[in-house]
Amino acid sequence: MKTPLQILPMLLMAVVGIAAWQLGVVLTGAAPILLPSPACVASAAWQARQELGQGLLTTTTAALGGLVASITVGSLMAIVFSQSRLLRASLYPYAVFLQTVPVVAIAPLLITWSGYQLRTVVLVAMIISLFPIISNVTTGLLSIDPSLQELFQVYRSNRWAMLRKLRIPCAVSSLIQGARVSSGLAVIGAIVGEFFVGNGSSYAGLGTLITGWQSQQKTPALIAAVIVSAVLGLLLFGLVHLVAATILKKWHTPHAT
Amino acid sequence: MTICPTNSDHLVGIQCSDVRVAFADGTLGLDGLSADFAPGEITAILGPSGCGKSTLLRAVAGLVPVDCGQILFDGGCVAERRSDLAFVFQDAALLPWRTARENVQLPLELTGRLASHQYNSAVTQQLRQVTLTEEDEKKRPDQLSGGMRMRVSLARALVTEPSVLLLDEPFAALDELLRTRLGVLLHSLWQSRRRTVLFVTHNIAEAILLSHQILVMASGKVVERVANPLPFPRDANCRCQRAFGEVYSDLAVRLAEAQR
Repeated sequence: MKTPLQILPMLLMAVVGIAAWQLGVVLTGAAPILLPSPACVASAAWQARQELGQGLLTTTTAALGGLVASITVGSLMAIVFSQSRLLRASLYPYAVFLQTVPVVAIAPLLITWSGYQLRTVVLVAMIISLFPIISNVTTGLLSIDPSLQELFQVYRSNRWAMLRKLRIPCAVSSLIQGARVSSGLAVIGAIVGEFFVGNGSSYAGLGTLITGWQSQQKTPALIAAVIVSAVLGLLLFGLVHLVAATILKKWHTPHAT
Repeated sequence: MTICPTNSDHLVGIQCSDVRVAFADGTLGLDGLSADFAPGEITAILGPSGCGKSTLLRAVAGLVPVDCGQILFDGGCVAERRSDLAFVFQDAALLPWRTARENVQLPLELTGRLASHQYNSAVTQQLRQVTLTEEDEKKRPDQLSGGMRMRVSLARALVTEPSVLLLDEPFAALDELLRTRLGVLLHSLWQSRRRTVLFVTHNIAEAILLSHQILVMASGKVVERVANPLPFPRDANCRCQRAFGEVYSDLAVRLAEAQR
């Protein structure tokens, strides 16, 4: 947990950034439609607070749903990969393929299959945040200290006992590392999904607001929505960090977290 | 199939004949090694690094496949007896997320040797035997000292009451004082319940103090077998005996030859 003294430089930097922004607006005399002032953005955010609040709630649900789904599906896939070299050789390249396919290219296809609804956004968030989980957990399940592996072999431990009592506990810290990366990706996936799903439907997430306000040239509100999206990314990362710290406390002494 | 008694009081002898173990890169871990390990005796295995000491222990435990020759327990059975042995690793090999007590309990969970309601008493007995307190047993490995971790590892090895105990340089990472203390502890554990022990070490004095026989290995073979003339029980004072000095000098010469 960070102390106030550690947070202070970060807050100071934010103040400096906002001041530089305000100074930039004054010096360049840019039109509010191109670069609104921080005060203008704050005012637009206050006026659109209900829509932003609703959008934040919807996108949080989608991103969190996508993250939970990617952790569940990714961990299960990693467990399957860890069980056989043949399975790994046959399926792992497709997991890599999943990462290389641009999500904007498959989002329209997902809408065709799943419809203009939250489920589709969750699916997009899951797909985009899946690979770090698969990759990290597979590595964690396979990178076992040779002595520990031999210890289990000495006692003629079966595959299931070795998975449950050795491989899965060993992979916990790798899963957490993967979840940290995936938390940011899940927010990106949810907003990208909403760009497509929100188009012409009643769905109202931050991504929908961003595309809507962009087309209406409401730049101050658009910037407010971008800032709220960034804050959501930070909150989700913080949540994963908090859960990780709680879990790792059981694994190692606190300094190891 | 030969049926082997699994009675914990039964002493088990091990016979290795012409054992050859080759690694994937073609190098030989063991090259036609033959050795007898008498039931209930401690054998110390000395030799330069890379001579095959640890490979011998791993072959006996069934952790590496034997390409030629055979390793027999009690002259007949192989696989059955191997479920009645325990291994102590150089790095203690404790599960970092488990407490000392939970680590000691692990072999009981894996082997199903006892009913779960009997775990507590068996684990407590072993923890006290290696002089770990009630407070120590609640700590995780990263909260324990090197000596304590090794004692947990010893307790874990003994909790299933194995007939064969394999120790791979268990005290190598510890300082001299701790080595001596744990050597004395190992000796008293062996006296309280005799079992066949194979003990790999680089320390000649430790080998002499603890063992009935000492094998010197080089290039995957046993090049010297020395019957230890020192009578049991032994303590640190027996280093002053003439026989100790003679065996020490003899082994030092043999080791120097093996290292050439």
